[in-house]
Amino acid sequence: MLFELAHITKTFPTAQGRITSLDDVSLSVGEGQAVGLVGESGSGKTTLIRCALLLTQPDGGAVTFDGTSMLGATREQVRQFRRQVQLVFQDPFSSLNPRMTVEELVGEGLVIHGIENSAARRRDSVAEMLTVVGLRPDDMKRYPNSFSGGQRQRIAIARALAIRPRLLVCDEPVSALDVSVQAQVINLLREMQKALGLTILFVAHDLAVVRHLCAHVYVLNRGKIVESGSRDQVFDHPTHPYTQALLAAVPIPDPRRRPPRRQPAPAAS
Amino acid sequence: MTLAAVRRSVQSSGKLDMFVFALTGFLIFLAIFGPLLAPDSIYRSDIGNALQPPSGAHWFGTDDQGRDIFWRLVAGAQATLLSSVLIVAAYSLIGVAVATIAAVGPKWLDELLMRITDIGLALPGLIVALGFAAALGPSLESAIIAKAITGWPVTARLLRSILMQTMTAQYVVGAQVLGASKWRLMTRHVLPNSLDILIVKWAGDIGATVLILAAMSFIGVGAQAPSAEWGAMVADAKGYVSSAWWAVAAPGAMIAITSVAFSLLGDILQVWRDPSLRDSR
Ligand SMILES: Nc1ncnc2c1ncn2[C@@H]1O[C@H](COP(=O)(O)OP(=O)(O)O)[C@@H](O)[C@H]1O
Ligand SMILES: [Mg+2]
Repeated sequence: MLFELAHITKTFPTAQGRITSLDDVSLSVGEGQAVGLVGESGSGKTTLIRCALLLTQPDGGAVTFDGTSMLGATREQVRQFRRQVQLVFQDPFSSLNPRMTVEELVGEGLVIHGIENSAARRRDSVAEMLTVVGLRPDDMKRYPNSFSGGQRQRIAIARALAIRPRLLVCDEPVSALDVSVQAQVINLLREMQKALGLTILFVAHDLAVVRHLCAHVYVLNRGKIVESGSRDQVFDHPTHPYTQALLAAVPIPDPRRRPPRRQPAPAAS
Repeated sequence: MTLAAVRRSVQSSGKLDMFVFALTGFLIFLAIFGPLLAPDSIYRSDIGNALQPPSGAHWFGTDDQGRDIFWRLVAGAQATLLSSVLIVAAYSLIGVAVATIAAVGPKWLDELLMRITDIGLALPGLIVALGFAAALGPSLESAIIAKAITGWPVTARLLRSILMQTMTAQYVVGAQVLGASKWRLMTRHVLPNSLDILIVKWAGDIGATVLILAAMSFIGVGAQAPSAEWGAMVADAKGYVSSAWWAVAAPGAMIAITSVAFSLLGDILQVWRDPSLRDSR
């Protein structure tokens, strides 16, 4: 297994006492696989990702990448991890630094990891990456403000993939986008997975999006994994009532034919 | 009309924006070139010409030494305004440094710096500045040093809280995931998205500092009588205000206009900075 989360537990102190956001969550992702993690809003998906990406310390459990235990890893091991594991955020309006050009944004990983030290070669890399995700190389000099949500998410994907990571984690990458562009972004991720041999951990709050992309699915409910299995198993023979309810809530499984839903407002910040 | 109401109307009118820009630009010009423009006669007394009311020859009249008040104001802009700018620049630098070190440094250092900042905030700034200036001897320089040393805690406190807020922004977390060092996170992502509020604060602070410097001169711990610093001019002229009201009114008006102009500039920049008003996405 390329990436393994084992028995992850995370609690938060609140005014009403400690709440348990993750309770003994285990999950594994094999090299080249696309694995889905589904759960409704508040089920703990983002918290799990924050633990998995070493952005917050879980109360217990283990994070293992390519055989290396990442909790308590050395600086050099963390650096290697950052080189190989990337993240696409939910909200493309807050995940791109508004004061950096697309060139700087997409090229930043190349600078940080010393992959491309000459500015000219870096520009070539960025141009190529932009083309791959369906943007124009001329867009390089622009700032994220001047792009639509779908285009911004493409920039975010280009930024994450520019350093050629082995694992791409996506935290609801389309739920903040117009329904009309959701399928385009999902398809882009699918192409990337095939073309680059990328491993993907894809988080979503609805099953339809996951069905399109992931061969293996985990279902998270109130911080616990309640069901896991292959796509067919989970979609055709769900055993847990929560999964059945999630499935029942999504009558049309193809994202391209899904009816429009309430538009989430872009975050103000 | 209250100042707040003036500010609101200023915020909604582009013409007034231009007026404030022109006025503050003109004042800055005076602060830089004023002493070069003014004739040498303003430094000599000419008792025969003392206490002349405003006229074609002396637009703002003359003082008790017969010196032209208009030209003294032009020359004195440097002492008042340039000093204020330097003070604000000095304490902002200290504030930015303290806030940045507190934000990136280890927790104990953050705690320590913020306790020191709290102490600085709790001290009554003007009183400390007065004591300081009194200890160093009354002069413009000691007023400047005193104000610069006592001014930084507000900047440090404000900026640290902004830095902490910016550090939780998604694009900062994103850069962290990309492997950016603490230094890179700070210089490329956090500071560029946090410092713009200081530009707004600077303008307002310059307005306030003009007033404080003038007040210090007036009560005798800042610039002293022969100086054309505006506060010192008011202090000097208050003794004969009954026979020459203009000798107090003219520098007083300059202090008020300058102070208000810069705080209005701060408000205008605030509006410009607010993306919801700038962007028409
Ligand atoms: N920093 C935090 N402090 C307190 N509670 C938190 C924090 N982060 C997440 N939670 C709680 O953990 C639960 C899971 O949140 P989250 O992981 O964001 O869910 P999801 O991404 O599935 O919508 C929620 O109940 C949320 O309130
Ligand atoms: Mg979430």
